[in-house]
Amino acid sequence: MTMNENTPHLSLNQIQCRYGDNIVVHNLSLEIERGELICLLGYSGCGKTTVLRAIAGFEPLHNGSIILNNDLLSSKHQQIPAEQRNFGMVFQDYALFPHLNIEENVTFSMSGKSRAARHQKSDELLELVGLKGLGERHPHELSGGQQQRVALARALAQDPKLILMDEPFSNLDVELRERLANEVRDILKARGVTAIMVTHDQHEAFAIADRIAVMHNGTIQQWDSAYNLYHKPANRFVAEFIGQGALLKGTIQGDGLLQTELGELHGERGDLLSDGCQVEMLVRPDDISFTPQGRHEAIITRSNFLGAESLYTLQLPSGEEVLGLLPSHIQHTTGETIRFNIEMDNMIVFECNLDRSENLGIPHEH
Amino acid sequence: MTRSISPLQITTYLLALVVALPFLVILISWGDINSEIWEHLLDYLFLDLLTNTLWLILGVGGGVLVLGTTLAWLTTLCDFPGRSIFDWALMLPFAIPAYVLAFVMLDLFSYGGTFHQLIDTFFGGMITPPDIQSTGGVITVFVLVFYPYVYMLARTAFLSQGNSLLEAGQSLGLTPTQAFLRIALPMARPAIAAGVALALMETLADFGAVSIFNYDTFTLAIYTSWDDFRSLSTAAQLSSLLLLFALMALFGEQAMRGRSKYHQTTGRTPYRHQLKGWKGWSATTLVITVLFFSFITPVAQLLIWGIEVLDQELNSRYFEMLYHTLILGAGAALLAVLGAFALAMTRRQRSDWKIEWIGRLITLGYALPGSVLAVGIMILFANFGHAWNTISEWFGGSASSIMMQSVPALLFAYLVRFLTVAHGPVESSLERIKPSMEEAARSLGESNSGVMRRIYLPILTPGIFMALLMVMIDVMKELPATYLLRPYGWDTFAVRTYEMASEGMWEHAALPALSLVIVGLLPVIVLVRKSR
Repeated sequence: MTMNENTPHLSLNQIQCRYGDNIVVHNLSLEIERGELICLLGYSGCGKTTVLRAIAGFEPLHNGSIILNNDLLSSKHQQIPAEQRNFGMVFQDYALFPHLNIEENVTFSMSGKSRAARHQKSDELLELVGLKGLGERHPHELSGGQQQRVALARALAQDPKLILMDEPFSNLDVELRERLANEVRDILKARGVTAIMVTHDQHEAFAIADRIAVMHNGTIQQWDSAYNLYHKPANRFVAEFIGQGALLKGTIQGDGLLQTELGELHGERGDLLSDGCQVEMLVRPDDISFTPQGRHEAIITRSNFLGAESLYTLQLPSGEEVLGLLPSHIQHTTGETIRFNIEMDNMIVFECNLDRSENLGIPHEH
Repeated sequence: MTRSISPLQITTYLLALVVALPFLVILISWGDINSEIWEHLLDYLFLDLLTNTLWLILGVGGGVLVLGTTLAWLTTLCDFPGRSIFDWALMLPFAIPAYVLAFVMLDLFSYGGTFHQLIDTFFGGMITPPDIQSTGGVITVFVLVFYPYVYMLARTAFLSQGNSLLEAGQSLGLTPTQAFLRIALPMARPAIAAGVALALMETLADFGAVSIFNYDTFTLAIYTSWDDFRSLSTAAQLSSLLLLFALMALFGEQAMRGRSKYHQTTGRTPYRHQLKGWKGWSATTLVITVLFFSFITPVAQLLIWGIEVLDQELNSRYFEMLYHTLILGAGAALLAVLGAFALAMTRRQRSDWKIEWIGRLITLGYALPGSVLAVGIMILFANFGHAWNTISEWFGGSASSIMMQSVPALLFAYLVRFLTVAHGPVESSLERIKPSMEEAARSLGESNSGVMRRIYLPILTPGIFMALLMVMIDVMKELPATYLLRPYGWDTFAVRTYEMASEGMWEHAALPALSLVIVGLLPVIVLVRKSR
């Protein structure tokens, strides 16, 4: 097999999946590099799990193709069976085999190998996932987090070309979820495995993925790094789905200038729109910097204590609201007036003469 | 996805046909009415049949309802001396076939029986206890044998209700008894009704006990019209009437069981209301009385008789019966489990409305009383026989008839009746295999056959074993179908027990009866262990 370093490891070309007449994945394309950890992120029902199952070989394609290292895996006419793909899959419910102990679960794919080889592999992988010495236990004797690690070890045991994870942390409690996500990332990176994870939780996606595909209604809305999803959302859906923020009304003044309640602002994207256009501008909490000498004034209408920081809802004189963050040791009460400046690197604006629902879900061309 | 029909589906459709055929044959029988026999029946028997059947439904239904629910209330929500032992001991009567308790009770409590003799010696004719060979006596026997159905289901219902609702009731000012009557009992109502329906199905299907008591019911009339009048069509017509009652009970059971699911909340095991002083001891007395008559007495009496005759009865004839009993049980169990597996797998792989209807149809088989089933199968095999003879005569062959009373006919009957029994454990063990496990195995490189061998088979084994055991023991205890369909000379424990008992030769019935009770205890032990 020839490996061209420039071709993508895995590519999905215009794939379409249907359940009956219901199209759940619309002509979706995606290219993934070798060793990359990527994440399909979206609300439940957006088609992300279907994409993952299509890659695994459990879901037929109605159109398009899936190609791994120039080999065709799936198309409308052809589908290599899941058992011949050598992809490790981690299921939402872990799917550990209840009648086998942990070692037998981990080495399930190695039935042709010698006992010693299986034992060695199991020891190595269990140590890697931090479950050294638990090989003799049965799945029901382990906690959820431990079962999760066994599922990962089992998927890694076949030295897979690709690891697929379907909501792997959703059955765990929040604290464990974040810790395990970091651990899993380290394990996968250390082994140089390419992995695709599906989740609805953006913090999980941020913790684990190099690149994230935000999905909605069976299409990819944006395929980017976490930084860009937050700071340069491609459309209103991504802007609202990722992170926190507020949309502030404004008018385009030409030359990339935007007239808003917070004065004239300049941004690189403003000049895509014509003069006099009514727009909404995305204001993230980190665009607001509080200072007693600030140019603007607002009333605090709500404060949420988040731990290290507090998130304040600020009401501008016109009644519009923006969000701002302050270290939580500085306490402000609701009703208080506070001064701030606005500091933006990228100005993100969306046309507001469109109906909101129409604006949602239309991928923005770069 | 391909729409081709798999071998599994073909098996399922065949099973549906197998179960449907006896029903169809019995319904078709109305095309040929023997007016002479019917006149006789209507003149002498029919009114008795109806009133007796109604008395049984009312008496047994009411009896198991009160007894089963009371006992379940006592062992789950109250505490009294001996409770933790009685909790499981009250399931033991499941192991006693109705016809066994019937002949033991008849011997002990009929005129001239041990009990009457005792009374006579002590009171010298001053007191005459009622005769057990009466409607009340038959009802008592059935209640003692079938109350465990209500007890089991009510017990599970009370236990699954948890504590919080009863506590809520008490916090609103109810006494424990009021809380039971106004909260626990209404919530358990579907489960209790399902238990009563099961007990009624068994009562309607019974042939041995009513025959030993000489109490005319449909099962007995069905047998008589075949044995005395040689009229299969009349037997089939009577069968269809009995079937009507049995199906009503089955639908009642299914409707109630479906509803009982919504009422279950999980929670801590209930806090038990302490019965102090005379209350506690009367509870203990009640339970011991029930156990005494339903389990201790029959087992003790059978042991006494059995030991008496052990030397002469434990002979080659006994072992021949043992062999027949086991081979029929094992053969039927194997067939039923294979059928149940095919049905469960088909339902899992592709569950459309056709398969769901087949699933429901197959549960109807359990409602077919053994005598009704036997009549249906005799008619079927008789028609097969005619057809076969005609065909073989065309081809110049000799006419070797397919026998109405043969091992295949018996296995056919057992399959129809006990497929549902096998389906339960097979399906619930299949539910342990989540779809993702199959996909996990495939993503780890296993082919279809590998998934079968390494995932399905090992996980299903305990369920399949359980199903085999349950069907085998049900078949061993089954009387009417075996009695009517067995080939000449094929005596089983059940048949021998019945034949000896109906001749009044109690001692000779004891050893096979005792053997049945002992194997019957196996599934009860499993039940008891599961319920704790």
